[in-house]
Amino acid sequence: MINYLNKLLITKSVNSPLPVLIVSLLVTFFITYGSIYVTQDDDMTNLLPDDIGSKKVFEEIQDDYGITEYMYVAIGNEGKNIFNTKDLNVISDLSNKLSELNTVDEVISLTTLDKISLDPADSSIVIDSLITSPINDSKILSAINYLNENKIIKSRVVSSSNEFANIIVIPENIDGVYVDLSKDIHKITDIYEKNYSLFYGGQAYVTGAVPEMVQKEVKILLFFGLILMGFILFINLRNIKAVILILFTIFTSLGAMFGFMGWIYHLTNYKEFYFTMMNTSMPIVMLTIANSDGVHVLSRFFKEFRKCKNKKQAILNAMNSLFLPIFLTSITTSAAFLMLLFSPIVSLTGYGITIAFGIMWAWLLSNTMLPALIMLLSWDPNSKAISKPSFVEKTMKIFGTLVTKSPKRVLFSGIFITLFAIGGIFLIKVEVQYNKMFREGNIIRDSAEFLDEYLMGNVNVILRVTSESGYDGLKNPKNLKDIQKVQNYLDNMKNVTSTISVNDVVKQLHKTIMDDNHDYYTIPDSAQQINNLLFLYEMNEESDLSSLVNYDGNQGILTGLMKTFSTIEVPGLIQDMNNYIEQNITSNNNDLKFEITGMMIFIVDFMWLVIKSSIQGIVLSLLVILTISSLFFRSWRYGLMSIIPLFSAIILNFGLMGWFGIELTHLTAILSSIILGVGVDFTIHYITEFKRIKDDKKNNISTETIDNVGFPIILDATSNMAFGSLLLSTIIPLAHVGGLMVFAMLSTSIGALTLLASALEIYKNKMK
Amino acid sequence: MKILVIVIFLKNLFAMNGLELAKLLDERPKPNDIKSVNTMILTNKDNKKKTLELISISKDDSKKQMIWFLKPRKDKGISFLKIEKDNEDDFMTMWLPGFSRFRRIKSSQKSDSFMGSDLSFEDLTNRTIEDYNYNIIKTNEDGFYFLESIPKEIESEYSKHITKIKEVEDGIFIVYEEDSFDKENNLLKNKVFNFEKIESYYVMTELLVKNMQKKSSTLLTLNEIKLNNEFEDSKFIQRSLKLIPK
Repeated sequence: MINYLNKLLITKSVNSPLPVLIVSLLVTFFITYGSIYVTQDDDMTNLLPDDIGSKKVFEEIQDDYGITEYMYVAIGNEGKNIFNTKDLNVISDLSNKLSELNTVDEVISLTTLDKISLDPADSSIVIDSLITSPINDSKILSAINYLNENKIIKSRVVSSSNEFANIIVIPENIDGVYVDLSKDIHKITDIYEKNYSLFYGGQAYVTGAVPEMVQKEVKILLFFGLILMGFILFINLRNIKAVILILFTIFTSLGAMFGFMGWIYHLTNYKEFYFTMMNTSMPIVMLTIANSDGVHVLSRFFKEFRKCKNKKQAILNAMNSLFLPIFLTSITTSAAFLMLLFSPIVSLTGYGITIAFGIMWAWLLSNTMLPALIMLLSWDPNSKAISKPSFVEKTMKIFGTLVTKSPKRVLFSGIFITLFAIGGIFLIKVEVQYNKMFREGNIIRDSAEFLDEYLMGNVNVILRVTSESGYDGLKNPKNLKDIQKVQNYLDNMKNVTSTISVNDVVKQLHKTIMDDNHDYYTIPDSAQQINNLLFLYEMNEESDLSSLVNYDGNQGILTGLMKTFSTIEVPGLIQDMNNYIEQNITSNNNDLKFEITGMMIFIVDFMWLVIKSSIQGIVLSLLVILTISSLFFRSWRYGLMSIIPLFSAIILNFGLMGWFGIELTHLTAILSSIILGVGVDFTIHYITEFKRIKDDKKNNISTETIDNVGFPIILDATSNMAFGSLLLSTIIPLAHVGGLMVFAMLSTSIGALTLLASALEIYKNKMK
Repeated sequence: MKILVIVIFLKNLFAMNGLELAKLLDERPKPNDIKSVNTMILTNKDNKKKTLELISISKDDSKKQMIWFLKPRKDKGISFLKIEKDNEDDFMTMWLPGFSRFRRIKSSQKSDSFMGSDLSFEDLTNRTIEDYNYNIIKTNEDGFYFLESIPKEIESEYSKHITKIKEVEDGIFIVYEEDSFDKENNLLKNKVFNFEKIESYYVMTELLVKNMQKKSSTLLTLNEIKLNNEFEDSKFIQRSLKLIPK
């Protein structure tokens, strides 16, 4: 079957290159056309499966109470007090414009904040905006007095130095709101940037702004990576036509992959085929794999052309010896990516299918379009590139001899390095502290640090409190006082800047109704008093308890506004809160049930999901590679050999991350896919060549194998290292991906040429 | 053809205008006072319901009104007094039994919700004829008039109302439905009224208010209606709020 396919494709491509080229290009163009249907979905929350506990509670909270993750806009100027008519008018203007956005549910600022107060004229309770228009000096003074008496409220809307106002933007509960709102905000604030310093933050803002930022950087840096890749290929191949052919194969494969994704989405509407932030790595994976096919074909063609000086024969020889390994690498890599179908992350299933298709399309083009193009172009057999081996090719010969002479030393050195790396795996940190993900100077990092230092911080923790006694059960004094205990506990936590719950309203009303006496800033002792206060409050048009307590009054939320902190601390924080609640509340009050959530918490859950998914993917992929290799080589020993360098490369990669303190994030976790995708390519090319030479009963099997496949492996690896350009990214995990990419290429290629080569050399007589 | 033109001309010549219709509506015979036990069913956008039960007594076309809450139990005893005054702010106050205190409600807070319902204090207040411009925007074959009322220079949460009115007896006009628009001229509330003839008066027995923007609704039903109870003006004072009438 494979031989038939080989003959069919290669013979046709060599004998009828033009029709093959036209057909392959037309079909590829048709598939690529589907790219117009690629639909982007930047909402990270959609990536998570629905059955994650924290997400489930979080989404229920969003449905019941509206969005609880806020965006913050801080405006002001250093050294200048914000409490003046001009600045407050700007804040009022900005707040009004933000309120008018369809993506905004509510804006809380100095000018819109509800003030609960007693009118001294007639002792009536007034709930009104803190500063109403037209703004004048007496209103400003009254607002300052109110804020000075209510420091907690003040801390939410003004910096302690009174230099910056904080505008809290609560998004509308609609799909994709974070992304749209993070863009909308800038359209409005642009005009103020000339006269004011502006800072943006909050988990909602970061969640909305980051995907686009990542995609923008990836696009730019990939472009530079491709230029660098072309340059590396040119230095080694010394032939511009060869470089263009490789890059052309890469682009057509990439286009077909995105086109496939678009068509599938267009035809099925499956959300698995959305282009999400997780899919940002797809072009990197595809570029490295398609590059590999092209590099192997061209370098092998040069080698054969050098020997026989006949273009057609050289193509036939090259393609005949490469058909099986390229087919095998494509099949194994596709199968490995198809293992993502078992991933709990929705978009990764579409990711796996799309990449698998792209890889097989790259294989098809490498066996049709590429040989057809080589056939159609003229090649000078006397050119330096073809007639003389390059420096790397010569080096490979020497290296081949070394492996043959001292295979044990090479093998044990490789094993020692791998064992050393294992230690690093235990030091890996899982981290998504957003401000640490960006370099200094990046708007997200600078704003996050500002908000942490001067205002309310950037992240939230939310506790959903449910009373088991049903309707209005939450509003009895015992329950509210117990919630207050938890609120006080949160207030004393090191990263918490402020807390919000229904108790704030109850206490403020209690104080107000008792003639503004501070002694009554407490939860009343009787249920009737609490009900009277809430009845009074709910009468007000501006009042809205729906964001704090549900309609039935048996459930509410307690929100802790926090400074940015490490996700490493999250499990400990949850544990501490649960311990406190268990020891101080639920042991005496079994009516209350507390559930902890918040975007920060389910992002951590998401991280672990990505990591679990990656580990599951690695194991399944290794099994698939082992099975397919064993079947194709008709030997379990060769199957086992094919995964040894991959296993070692993965250990080296993650071990290095641990030793060098590179955090594991959803971005760095994708490297395992690249390692497997590219690594399997190297090992299968090596094993196929080794087996072919061994079956020909030649001597110096390893030397000749390294001589034949060493150069394309090294060339493939070094050209893929061009994606080290990602090191320049301002997004630190992306820069880590760049650095680790370089390392992964080294580890996989050297792994194949040392561990695999020496192991095969040692056990060559046992290999059947 | 000529006859038809003359008929239309005469009809237009003698048709009443908006102000006249508003006056006729206002002059409908009304009892001196009303006592009723009302239920108010509040339904939020998620179709969750809350039921309130209250006793209401009112006098002078509801210019004086007192309300005591009976249910839900947690709100029992909370009561409310409103006295509308000509040329000065209305007097509105609440009795909070939990604190044994009265709390004034400012008349500038008329757009506030009445007891958490879709009715605002403004909805409960009689419209002074002179405070609005009126215009009959259409009539239909079923005898309904559509009266547009635009507030002049008064403080209002609305930009206009369009009221569907019909003459039920000779010279007696009652309201069937009303759409109220917010300041941006978007439909804010739709109210559907039901009147029944009790003794010789047309008395509102049911009112359904839908807040079109919040997607919530309130159904007010008046039961055990007693007319002309001869309530004295002196009954409408703060002190009366403390005791729930039987």
